[in-house]
Amino acid sequence: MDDRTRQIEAASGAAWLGRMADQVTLAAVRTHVGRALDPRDVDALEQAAKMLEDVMAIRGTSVATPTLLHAMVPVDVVDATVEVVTSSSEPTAPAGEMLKGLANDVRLLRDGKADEPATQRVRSFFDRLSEITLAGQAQISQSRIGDDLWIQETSSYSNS
Amino acid sequence: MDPRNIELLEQLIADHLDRLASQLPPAGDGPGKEAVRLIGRLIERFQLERSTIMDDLNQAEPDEIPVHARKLERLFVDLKTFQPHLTRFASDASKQSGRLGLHVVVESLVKNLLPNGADPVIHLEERHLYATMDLARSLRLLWNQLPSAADGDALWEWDSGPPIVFFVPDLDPDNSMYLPLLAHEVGHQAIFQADLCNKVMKACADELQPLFEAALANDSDLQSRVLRQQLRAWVDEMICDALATTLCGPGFLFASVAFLPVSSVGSAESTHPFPHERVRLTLELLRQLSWESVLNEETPQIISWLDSVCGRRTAGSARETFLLEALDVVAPHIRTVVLDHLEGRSLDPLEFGAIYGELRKLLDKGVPPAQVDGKSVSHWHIVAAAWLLRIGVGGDSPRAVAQGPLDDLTNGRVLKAIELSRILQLWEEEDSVDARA
Repeated sequence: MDDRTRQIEAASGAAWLGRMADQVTLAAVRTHVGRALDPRDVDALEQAAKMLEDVMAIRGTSVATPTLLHAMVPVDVVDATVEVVTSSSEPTAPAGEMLKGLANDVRLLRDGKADEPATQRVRSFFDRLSEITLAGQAQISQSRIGDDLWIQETSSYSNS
Repeated sequence: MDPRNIELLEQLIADHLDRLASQLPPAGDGPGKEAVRLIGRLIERFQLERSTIMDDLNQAEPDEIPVHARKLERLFVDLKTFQPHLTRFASDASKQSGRLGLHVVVESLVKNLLPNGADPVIHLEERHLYATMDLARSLRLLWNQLPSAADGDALWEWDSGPPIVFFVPDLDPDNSMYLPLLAHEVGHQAIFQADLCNKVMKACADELQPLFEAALANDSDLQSRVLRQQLRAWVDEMICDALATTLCGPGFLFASVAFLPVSSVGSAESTHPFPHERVRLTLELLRQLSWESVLNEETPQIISWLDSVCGRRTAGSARETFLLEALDVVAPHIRTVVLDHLEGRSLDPLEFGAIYGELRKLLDKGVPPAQVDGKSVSHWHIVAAAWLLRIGVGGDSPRAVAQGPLDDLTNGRVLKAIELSRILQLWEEEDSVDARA
């Protein structure tokens, strides 16, 4: 795979992740004030829960993982967000535990059963994820082929 | 965000989209039409997203506005990212006439390697590389997250296969000696279309697992995801090499030796296996496919040199140990999967042996060798013959391998022979249909 393909796939993956994060953030904002979710919120919450579960799966040590749903999503961006959020929250949970808990929170939100702390955890994580992906996308948009650190550092699911 | 900033951003996005749409060539019916159609639909989706975000902003509660504004900014950034690529490929798609020989080879590779076919777009690349890109696959995630029109616009339905961009070096687009490298690159699309890497990994997962666990235990800095991803990348490259070797025969060996080149050191951190490992495995497969006598008779010194420099080297890290041991495990499985995928469409060394003398004679005389004994000649037999001839003329030396692809006269004759042999094949196919009728 050459740099140009890698750049387009990285940009496509970041675009997917960012838009999903935006919509999940909106869902958390709406839940916080008791507003109803719309169908786009529900779809995004479902995608987010699956994405978090996929990230957990590829952290395992099986050499032949099956093809994942969200091929080409930049996994390192999710991991980096976990690090940012866990390092600023108390008490600190291990990343794997946090992803598991977050996937559960997201599903509760989708089902209309999330309490306020769960809603805030989802909002905090996905708001940060949204900011990080937007910064990454901006960097990709300004880069030339072959010199983009963000692309090189954000591996994708495509070969996982 | 200040409403005036939103107004600015919205107008910039509208202008970007208008410019992009204005540069899209009309959707024709020839090669490249699927790329034009895909890019056109993508522009429509961007336009729809812009209007959706603006509708949402107009109706949003104050606490939702920052998120919608961020969506607008994201759309603007995405347009800046994708616009140059989309413009370039749309322009390429509108100029697919000419370079008949190259188109013939691309058509043949698509037919032999890709079960879902392809609508090829040839792109002359400023960098000196060969590559392919499935445009739809590369844009899939973006596409899936953009709003769709009410009539639906499925990404995976094509009249003539998905739009695949073929990158060939602008510096030397008519180099026929390097055409086997395109077979390797089409292999990457075959891996996706026929799930070849997963087939290989599934077949040898039990053998690989203890090696994988040992590597992770021996180096605590290794991340399982990164190592697994690198292994998959190496397996992908080896599958592509095996597909190209089986389909193109010795032409792929010599093209690899010169283009990689085999003398490169490589890196255990790379997405590609070490060049000497790749060449050794290519040579092993050629021998398995019964090309040994041709190689030993025509290029004994080159083969001896390659055998000498392509041996296994001592691994310097847990990562490298794992990857090299994994190569040994996956190699036979790759050959099984590749032969199964090609279903007998491998280049025949016996047939080559029978016509090589005549091919060589014609090339020597400056005649494009499209036909021997009244039958059209396979493209890859022509390319293999050209390589053997050039290496022989150059004294069976590494220098001859380097200079082979630079011979413009031979390149021109080979490309012309490929064009002519394709015409002959079409006549033969018509005669065959007439005879059956």
